[in-house]
Amino acid sequence: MTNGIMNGAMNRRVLILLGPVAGIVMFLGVVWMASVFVGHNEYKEPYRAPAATADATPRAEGVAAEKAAAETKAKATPYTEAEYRRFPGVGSRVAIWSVAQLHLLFAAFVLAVPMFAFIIEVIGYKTGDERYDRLAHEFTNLLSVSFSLTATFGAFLTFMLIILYPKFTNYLMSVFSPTFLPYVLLFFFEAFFLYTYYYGWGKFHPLVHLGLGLGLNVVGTAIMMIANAWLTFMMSPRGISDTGAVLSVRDAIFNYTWLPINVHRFIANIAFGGSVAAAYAAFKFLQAETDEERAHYDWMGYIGNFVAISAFLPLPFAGYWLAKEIYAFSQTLGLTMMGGAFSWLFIIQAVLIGNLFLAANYYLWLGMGRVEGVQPLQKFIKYLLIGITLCFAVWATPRSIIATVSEIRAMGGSAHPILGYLGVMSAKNTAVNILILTTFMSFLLYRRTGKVATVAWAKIGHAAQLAIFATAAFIVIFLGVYGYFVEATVRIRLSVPQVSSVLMAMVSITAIDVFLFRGATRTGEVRWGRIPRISQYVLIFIAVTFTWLMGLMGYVRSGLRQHWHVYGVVRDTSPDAFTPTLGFATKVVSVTVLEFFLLIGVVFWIASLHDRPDFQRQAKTTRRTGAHEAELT
Amino acid sequence: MTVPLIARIGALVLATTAFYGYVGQMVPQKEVQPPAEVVLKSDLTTADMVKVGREIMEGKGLCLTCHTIGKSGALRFPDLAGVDGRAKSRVAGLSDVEYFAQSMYEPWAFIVPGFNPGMPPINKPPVGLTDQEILCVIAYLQTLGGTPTVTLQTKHHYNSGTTAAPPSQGVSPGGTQPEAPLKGEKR
Repeated sequence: MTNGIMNGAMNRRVLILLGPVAGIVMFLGVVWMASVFVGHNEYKEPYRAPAATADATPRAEGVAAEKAAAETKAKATPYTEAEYRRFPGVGSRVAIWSVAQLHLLFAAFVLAVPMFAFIIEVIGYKTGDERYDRLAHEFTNLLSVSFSLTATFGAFLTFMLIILYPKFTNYLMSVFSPTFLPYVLLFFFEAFFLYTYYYGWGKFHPLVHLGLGLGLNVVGTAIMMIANAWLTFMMSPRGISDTGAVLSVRDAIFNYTWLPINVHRFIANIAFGGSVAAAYAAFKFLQAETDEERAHYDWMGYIGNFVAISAFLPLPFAGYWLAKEIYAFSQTLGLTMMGGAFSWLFIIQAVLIGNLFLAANYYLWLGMGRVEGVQPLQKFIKYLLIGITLCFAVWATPRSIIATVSEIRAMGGSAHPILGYLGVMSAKNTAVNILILTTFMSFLLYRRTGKVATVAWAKIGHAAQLAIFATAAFIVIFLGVYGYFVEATVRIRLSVPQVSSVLMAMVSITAIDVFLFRGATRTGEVRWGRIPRISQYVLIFIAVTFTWLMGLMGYVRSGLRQHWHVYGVVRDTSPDAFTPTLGFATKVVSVTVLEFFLLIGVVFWIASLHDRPDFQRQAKTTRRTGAHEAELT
Repeated sequence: MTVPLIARIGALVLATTAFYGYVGQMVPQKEVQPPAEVVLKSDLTTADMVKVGREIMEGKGLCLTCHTIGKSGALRFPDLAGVDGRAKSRVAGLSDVEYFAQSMYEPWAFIVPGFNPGMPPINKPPVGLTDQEILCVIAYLQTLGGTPTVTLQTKHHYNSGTTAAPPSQGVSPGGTQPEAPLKGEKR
């Protein structure tokens, strides 16, 4: 017992020491960093003996004359604007890349969480179910620390741009100068809305609180749209002369890719935020000690994942639109993306998205186990799995295959004689649309688990849903095959009816389902928390995959400009102007993702402090009394 | 021995990122350098120009990113095999040299029937070939179905030559003669 008390006292001492030690380490880190930066830029004079003690020899006079000449020359040096500065170690590009990616990941999270927190709060308000209100509040727990990190990385990114790329940053600022002050103002508003939304939970009338949530979302989206104008201008500049002079700021903002990027990011942020929030719930589920806690975090994880996958399903359509606008701006840029240096990147993307679909479906199938009476529906899972695996394989098939010269000769070209047909857009578009339809079917199966429709038209309803699904699948496959027999100009347009039929099917089947299962008989209750633990690791896997995917797609969007800061206008003449290999890019993405998860771990930990019981001095007194008693015995 | 939760989650995050990083190493690795600025000698022969033109088309000019040579089927841009034979009679009043020059300086002036406009002016950024480099490309294009005749001294409408302005009789998608777009305008 005495040992236990001594260990406790030791632990307290370690904890007390930890603060100052961490402070000293951080201070030394800052001093080291400052010395590295200053040391790289500042001229250091070599040590010389003081003039008074130096002998008056011809050499000393010569040295003095040299020094005077150097001083005169230094004074006459004209001011020249630096074009680039180098970041020590990893170089300027990787430094900017990493900081920008971390800023964007936190910004995406901070923008997304209020969106679904607001929607969940609205559901809670409309249904009067307080569980939704508590869930929405718990999601916003993660916000305040993330908001600070977003702002910190934003400031870090701005300073890095000014330090490392001063000329280019100056140009971008001159083009978009009218947007910066509104941006800062909106940031103030966002801070106001975010903190009143979080700290004002339960303190205002629900409608006032919902108004704050709405304000937070509107302002957050506006901030994102302003920042998107800057980065999309770099890719598809508009509103400027051939030499880069600003003709219209409005046109510079409304450039080709601005609107599709806004939509794409808006949806992707929700998907990403949902997945990270689900990962938080998974972490809490795995830590939970009671069934009640497990039930709560299972439900929270399910909602987070539902939000993520619901947003993920229409994301490829927004991606098509963005790609279409890139082609419309510049065919060269479009072809560099899809057929040039970056074409293999989309094979990596296919692996990621295939994994996301597989993992999301697997989680849903595991989740069916929560509901009693699941057996009649489980027989469909194997067919869904076959469908997903086949589509995944088609999507990940490259057009040209890495092969030796003899292998290429044997194949009769770099494309495989049979598999090569699966590597083109007709096959890939078909595969991704069928993947979306299949995942939607998984959702539908999960939704109706443990329920039996009781409406009079139940049979007709089921038949209509099946017919719509089959028609959509037929249209997608038919147009995919038809694409092989028509000109490219026709083939490109076929993706529109493919996408439309899938969207129409999802909307109409959902609409029928809502009415079909209104007042349905329950054959079994949902037993939240009764799900295998592996399902929670699947949620974390989905979050990591989403994050990695965002990093990869951020790279292609930015890297597509190749040796241009602003495509066709401001050329990159720095030592980093080359486009790195995909292997190098994926290493940078991996390291950045690990950094993000390290930081998000800190966010989770800080957020979990909220649930801890308050520190009570009384407990300390009790322990002391206990220790005293122990000594006496 | 039970592995702590935080270690299990850390291992999962690490393994997932490592796996995707590994997939990234499995695809072809190509580092793309920015096009080098090369000053052409003034005494290049036509044969030299053909070689340089071919290099420009594969590299700085980005021509072969979109165009093909000797491919058939559903193409996105015109195939260039035998293009010199067609260039001589493609637009009435234009020689092959004038037609090639027009295709590069004013690509929207004539759109080959069956294709959509999409080519940027080659003398402007982001490609930004010089007049001499464009002459070299023309020399190479002439070898595709013809015999190269241009030299670095060859004049055409776009390099202050004396030839009359090429007639605008191209086929535009809308049926009317398209105008040169501003930077970033829809083409």
